[in-house]
Amino acid sequence: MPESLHIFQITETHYIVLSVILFCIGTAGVLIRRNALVIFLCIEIMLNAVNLALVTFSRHMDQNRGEVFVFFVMAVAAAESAIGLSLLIVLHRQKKTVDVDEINTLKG
Amino acid sequence: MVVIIRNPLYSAAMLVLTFFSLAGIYVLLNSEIIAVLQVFVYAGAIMVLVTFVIMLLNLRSGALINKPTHIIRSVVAVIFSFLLFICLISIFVSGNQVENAPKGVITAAAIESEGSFQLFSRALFSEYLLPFELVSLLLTVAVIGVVVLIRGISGAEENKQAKKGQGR
Repeated sequence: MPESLHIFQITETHYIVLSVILFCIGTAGVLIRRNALVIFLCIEIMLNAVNLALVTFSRHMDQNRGEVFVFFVMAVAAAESAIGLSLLIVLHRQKKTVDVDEINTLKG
Repeated sequence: MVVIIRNPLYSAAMLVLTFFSLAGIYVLLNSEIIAVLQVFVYAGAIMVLVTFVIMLLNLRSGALINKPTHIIRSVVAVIFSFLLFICLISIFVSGNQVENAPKGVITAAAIESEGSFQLFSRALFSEYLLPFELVSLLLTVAVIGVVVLIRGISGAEENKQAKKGQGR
């Protein structure tokens, strides 16, 4: 392989950098958006970034544990999405909004 | 894209695209089972649920379309996430000592000969059997919780209507 093509070879570092970028996009989305649904989607992005890092490290260490952990993360994310979305529906029925800035009942 | 687009339905569609791309990356990483699970669980189940909820809320009001956020808030959020990016990258770059750590037995050759599905399920159903059962319990509890939540609200509305009917 010529020397100029060397940087195009995908290594584990690239996967880790991609996962960090995804996590930061998710964080920015959670901070910027006010819609509770979009915040939920951004949390899913962050979970996926962590999953990618776990799989990458488990491949790097030649182990299986990272993948099993990703499996559990996915199951917990499914449960969390079910509960979170039903909470969102209940909130929308009671308050008629999903804007997190307007839901400030707990504010002292 | 998920963050920038105004309409949550379109950002959900973009999120599906992201999930599919991540599934491709998992295939590149030699763990096909995680790719399959990614497509099934995330791109299938969770996104269908999200789209369903978006449709359900959209029918009632147009309030779901995002209002523009304050510019200061966006700038602060972008700066914060950029700082987080710098921190995480520096952590991962400086963490080269891990190279000497003991490695496992699941090498690329082992995956090639045995198949990643077999290796994964053997680990899942022997070493991690108890967490697996606990996760199934958690999912059951989640389903029961959702039903209780929704039924509680609609039950309260029915009570109100019943009381109104009695008042008349």
